[in-house]
This record gives sequence, C-alpha cells and structure tokens, in this order.
Amino acid sequence: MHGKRRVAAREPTQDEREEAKQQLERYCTLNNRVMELKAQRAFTIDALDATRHLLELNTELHTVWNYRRTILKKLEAWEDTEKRQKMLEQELEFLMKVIKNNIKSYWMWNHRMWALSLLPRPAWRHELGLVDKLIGIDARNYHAWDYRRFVITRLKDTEDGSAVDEQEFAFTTTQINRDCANHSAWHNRSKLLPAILARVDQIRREKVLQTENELIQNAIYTDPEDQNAWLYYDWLLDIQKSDEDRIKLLRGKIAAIRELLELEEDGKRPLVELVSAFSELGQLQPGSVTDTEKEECMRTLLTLKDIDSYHSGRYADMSNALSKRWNVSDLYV
Amino acid sequence: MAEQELDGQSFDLVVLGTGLEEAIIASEAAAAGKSVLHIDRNPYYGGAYASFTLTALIEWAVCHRDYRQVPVVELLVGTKTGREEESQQQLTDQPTFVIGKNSRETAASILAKQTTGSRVSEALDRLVPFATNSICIDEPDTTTKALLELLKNDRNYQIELAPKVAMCRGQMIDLLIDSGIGEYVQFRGVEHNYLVRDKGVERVPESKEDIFASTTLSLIEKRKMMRVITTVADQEQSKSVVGQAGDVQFEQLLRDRFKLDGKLLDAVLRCVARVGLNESVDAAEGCRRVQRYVASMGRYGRMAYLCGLYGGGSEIAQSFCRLCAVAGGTYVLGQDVSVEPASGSAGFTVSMGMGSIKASKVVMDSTYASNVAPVCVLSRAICILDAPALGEDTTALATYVGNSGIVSMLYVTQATMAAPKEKSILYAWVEGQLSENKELLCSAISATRGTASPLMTLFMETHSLEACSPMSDDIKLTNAPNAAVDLDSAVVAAHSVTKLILD
Repeated sequence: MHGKRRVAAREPTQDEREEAKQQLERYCTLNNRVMELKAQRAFTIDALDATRHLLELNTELHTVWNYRRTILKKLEAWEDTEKRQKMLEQELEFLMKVIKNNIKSYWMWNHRMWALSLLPRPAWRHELGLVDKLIGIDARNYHAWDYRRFVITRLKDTEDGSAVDEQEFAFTTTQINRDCANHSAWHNRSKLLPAILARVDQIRREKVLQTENELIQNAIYTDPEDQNAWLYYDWLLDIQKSDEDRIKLLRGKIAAIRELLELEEDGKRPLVELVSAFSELGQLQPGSVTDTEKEECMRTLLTLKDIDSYHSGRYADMSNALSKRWNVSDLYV
Repeated sequence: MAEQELDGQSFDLVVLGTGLEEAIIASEAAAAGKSVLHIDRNPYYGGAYASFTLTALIEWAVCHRDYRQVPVVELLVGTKTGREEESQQQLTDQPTFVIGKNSRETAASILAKQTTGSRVSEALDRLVPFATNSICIDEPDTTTKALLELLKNDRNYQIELAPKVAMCRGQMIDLLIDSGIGEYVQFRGVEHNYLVRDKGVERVPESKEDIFASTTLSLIEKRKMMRVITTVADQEQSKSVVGQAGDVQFEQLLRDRFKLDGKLLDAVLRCVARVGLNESVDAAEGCRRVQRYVASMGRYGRMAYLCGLYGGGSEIAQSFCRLCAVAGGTYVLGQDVSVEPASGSAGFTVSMGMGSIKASKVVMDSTYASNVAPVCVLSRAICILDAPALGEDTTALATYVGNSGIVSMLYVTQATMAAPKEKSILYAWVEGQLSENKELLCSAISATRGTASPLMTLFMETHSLEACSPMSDDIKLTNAPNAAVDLDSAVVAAHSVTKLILD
C-alpha cells in the first residue's frame, strides 16, 4: 500500500515453523482435492465449497476461479433468474470477505466484474460506494480506480450520463486537492475531460479549459518537481482542437514558467519544460520563436547541465537537436 | 488517613498546591519512594490550572482565588435586546461586576453561609455585592435574565483558568505516555491554527495539501510557503540556510531568504514558531521551533497540538495526583496551611488545622509563600459566545496580530466538553497589565468571533509571584502558568525541581 512502511521480517520461532508446516499441508491437501474434482469435471455444490475454501487461502489461482465460474453456470439454480441473483449476490459477499486478504488480486477483481455483468439486477451505486471506501484507504490503488471506471460505465446504462460524468469529474478534483501528486486522480480526470468538453459550447469550453489551466498552475507552484501537472499540460495540448489553441496554451505555459522562475531560478523541471515548450512552439508555428528566445533556451540547457548532472546526456542531446533545427550554436560543444 | 493521624507525622516531602507542576513533582517523588503529603488549601484540584463549571468559576472568583496572584476579576455580562443595533455591545463597556479584593474572612463567611437555593441562585447571590450598577434580583432586569439564562447550562461548562494545549511530539505527551496516564486522559486534536487580523480570520496552511487547496493564497504565496515548509522544516537544509545567513533573527531570515511578508510572515513567525512581539529569536532557534511543530504533525493526525477534554491542565494535574496517591502519597484538600522552618533541626514544620507535620523538604505553589512579590503579568480574557464562532464540534488555536500586540487564543466547544452544544468559548491572553491590554484583548476577540455574540466575558490579570529573599535549598517554589500555548515548559520546570529534590 502506498505510504505505509514495510515491517521488517524476522526469523520464525519453532512454533511458528510448526504452524506454517501444518498450514502448508492443509493447503496442499485442499489444492489436490479441488484439482481432482476439476479433472473429474464435477460441477456440484461440494465442488463449489471446496473452491471457496481454497480461494480463501489463495486468491491468485486463476484456474480455480475459472472452475468456480464454470460450476456456477452449470448448476441447476442458474437457469432461474431469482436464484441466479441470489447466487451472484453470495459471490459478491464472498469476494468482499476475500478482498481483505489481498486488495490487489487481478483475478478477484475480474471475478467481481464477471459476477456484476451477469447479475440480473446489479446495484451499481452500491458498488460505487465500495470503490469510494477503497480509494479512501489508498488513494492510488489502480485496481480500485480501474474498477471505478468499469462501474461508472455500467452506471451510465441506468443513470444520466452527463450527471455521472460531472460527479466523477468533481471526485477527481477532491482527490487532487487532497494530494496533488495522486497520479490516478489526474489520469482519471484526463479520461473524463473529453466527454465533458464534447457536451459544452465554445464559451463554456473556454471556461473549462481555463479551470484546468489554473489547476495545473496551482500544482506547479505547490510542487514544481512533481511530474503530474506537467504531464497533464502535455495532455491538454493534445486535446486542443486547433494549432491556434495549442499555440495559445504554449504561450500561457511559457508565461507561467517564467513567473515561477523569477521566484526560483533553479527549478529543474520548470527549466526543462520551458525549453520543451519553445521547442514545440517552434514546430507548430515556424518562425514564432525569436532569436533571443532561442539563445535563452540554449543557455538554459547549459545551466541544467550544472544543476542536474545526472541527466546531462539528455540535455546535450536536446541542445544538439535544437541547434541543428534552429540554426544556432550548440553551447555544449 | 484520618485527620487525627496526621498530627506529628514526618514526611520526606510536603507539596503545597495541586497545580500541574506540583502534581508532577509529587507523583515523581512518590514513585521514587519518598513519603509525600500533598495539600491544597482549595476544595478542588488544579491550583492555577483548575477548571470550573460556571457556578464554580464564580465561586472561585469570589471565594477561592489568591488576591496576590489574581488581583482583580471583571465580569461583563452581554445582553441581547433582540434588536440588531443594540445587541452590538462593546466588550470595552463598563464591566457588570468587578470582583476586587475580598478579605479571606469575608470569603470564608460567604462559603459558610447555608443556602437553600439552587446552585444558580447561590452563584447570583455571590456576585450581586460586586455589581457596578444596581442589579435587582427580585425583579430581574435584562442583565440578570441573561446571567440566569447562561447559568442554566452551568454544568456543561468546563472553564480553565490557564488554558493550554499539548504539542503532539513534546515532553508533556511523552510524560503522559511514560506514566500511563495517557491511557485514560482523553484528548481531541486542535484541528485548525488560525491567523487573525482585523481584516479577518484565515487558516494557516500547514501542509502541501493545505497550500494546494487554499483559495486565499496567490500562486506566488503558495510557492513561498512550500519553500519554507520544505526547507525550514528539514534539519539538514535549514542548517545550511542558517549557516549561510549568519547571525540574524528568525524574522530577518524569513524576510530576506524566503521573501515572506504580510500574512505569510505572520503565519510562520507568529502562528507556527510563536515568536512574541518583542521576543528575540535567532534563525537557528526559529527553525527548531518550526521543526518541532512539523514533527508534531502526523503523530496522531494532521494536527500539531492536542487539547484535553474536561479542562486539560486540571485533568492532567488530577491524574498525577492520583498516580502519587497510588504510590503512597497522602492527600488533603480544603485546609489552610502554613510553613515555618523547624525550630532546632533541619526541615520544616507544616501547620494545618488538624495538626503539625514535619517535612524534610517542601515544594509549594508561590501563593503559599509569604515573602513573595508579583513579577510577570498576564492579562486574560474568557469569552463565552452564543454560537460556535469557528465551527461546531472543533478545537482551534488562533493568534491575533494587531498593531499594538499579539494575542494567543484558544477556541473550544463541546468537542472537548468545554461548552454546551450551541455555544463556544474563546480564551485570549497576552503578556502585560490588563489596564494596558484590555482593548487589545477585546480587538482580538472581536476579530475572531465573527457573527457570534459574547454572552459573558471575564477579564483577569494574573501575576507570577517570586520570592523576595533567597529561600532555603530545601524549599522550592513552582511557577504559575506562563504565556506559552503548550504545556511542555511546565513539564521541564517540574522535572528540574524533581531532580533537585531527589538528589
């Protein structure tokens, strides 16, 4: 889990060794039994119980999860809608129990999605509540975020899509406010933004993008070295509709970085991003970067070599490429 | 021990007063195997740290307080006339009651009076002689009505004479954990630290999260604040910064190196490092204070301080007394006591109504000493508000930065069982005489209370008493509560005395 210190391992005592041995024996016996039943193609309640006990001990046995799904589908009760609802609800309860052992088991999440997909009457709001709780415990658990996107998609089957999107968007704002380094939150936001932009007119579009800009700037000023806001800038650039908009965004980015550099002239990331911004500007609109600005970039790359010697190779590369493209002297040489 | 048994007994240590420092010393002496007799002339524990219900507070003001330590108490009862313009009563208005010096005999006779009325009417009776204008009890006027209304919830108040909080990582918390007291004394986090100026109240942003989410800081201010937090709060980085800066004051460092001014400067200098107006704090010490603050954050939650329930200082003092009793200490409350050097031998004779006791060493709250004079002075205000001004069910620290001074404030509510549900209490204090600082205290309260109105405000001036002439090595005086916001200095002082006693 993020942010929690690992407890150092220590040598097991004799008792603990004994217990571990017995646990292992129990596990192996159970495992063999389940595998035998599977080989015999037994699709009974007994077999179902056996898989349950085995999966409680180890959630990573994807064969056994598969087997369990097959058994469920072959049971007589499956045919009846009400009984299926009950069976799958019980599956969800079982999964809730098992999730406490291992929040990050792919197979367990997969099984949950399977169960919810086949439930005659799925309770998506309730699922959302569950995901909320998980994200509350660990805000960067990508399983939870992925699952959240799955739930939201299905939720939109029964509820108003745009309202759900707005709610989700607000949720990412809350998460980002809580921790501006939460990559999952920024990422989810980037997935929602296109849908939101698609639904608004030009004036509102400007407003929305302005808000995004402010959010980025807020993050940059709070922690200039954190990558999330800078990545989001790049991404905002991508979803612009026209080159004109892109140029405007880049100019804005350059102005913001310049102001930041006035306060702190040796911020590594801002300096690199400044050069990248000019570089992109030059590519979009040839001739838009002035000679003074080009020289500023070359000097910046030289400064970066001193501040950040670990990446001097990269800066040398950038300097080389830019000097060729812009026809200015490469200060690295 | 029954009364008669004490007469003629000898004790290694006699402690007079059950304030915080005395209680800690008594419990540590008892734990070290000394025989301890702990006496308090008051019928309650806590001494200068005691906490009271409303009626008990009135009783304290009229009957129990030491007039050398607290010469004057002024009580202003707010009156709501229901009409907006009129209910804007100024805190600087003439106090409703001025409780000046009352001789001990008169106080004793007030206490001795048998009353058949309720606690509430008893309290009112006690106040009436001190009214500044005529207050009629038979036909209650607006003031009396307001007071009676307030006193209805008397038991839901726990008002502290010397409110303080505990730094999450500090000597008090560590002592509470070591002594086992931490397992039953309850605390709530001090959830907010506010900077108060005449223009308004603003939360001090203490973490990256606070800074990011703040809507009142400009981008540049956010950057500056982050730099302070990451550099000053880090021991390594701050060492090099301080080294580069040379011999400068902390304020200078913040201005020059971090370009702080205005509210950011106040936030770091006054609210976090708690540097007083005329206090000289060098760069290294300032950084240390910030580090202590940041180190406290995260131990029990996001806050840097904890506030005790039911009146922290008093609860803690009582707990140490309990600990002392468990280790064999003997307790006597409500007995007047005097100390004389023993005739013909080392040690002291401690005289009470119930007899004389021999003591090898004595520790006393300075109000039990005869030859003392007032030194440092603190002006305090306790303001009961008719609404939760800074939030329901929460606790907050606040610092008022005004033109003429800086006032420390503590805001409490039902969260720490200090006030009834829809009310709150604002404590304010500043070093200096009341006559010079009353307006400052009032400005501080006005700037903080927002739309909440004061129902009752109590002003007092507390004096620290110091010995006029050198005393024997075997007598130690403890300190009255100082102006610090936290309890750590009391622990340090107590421990230095314990060390001397146990040598």
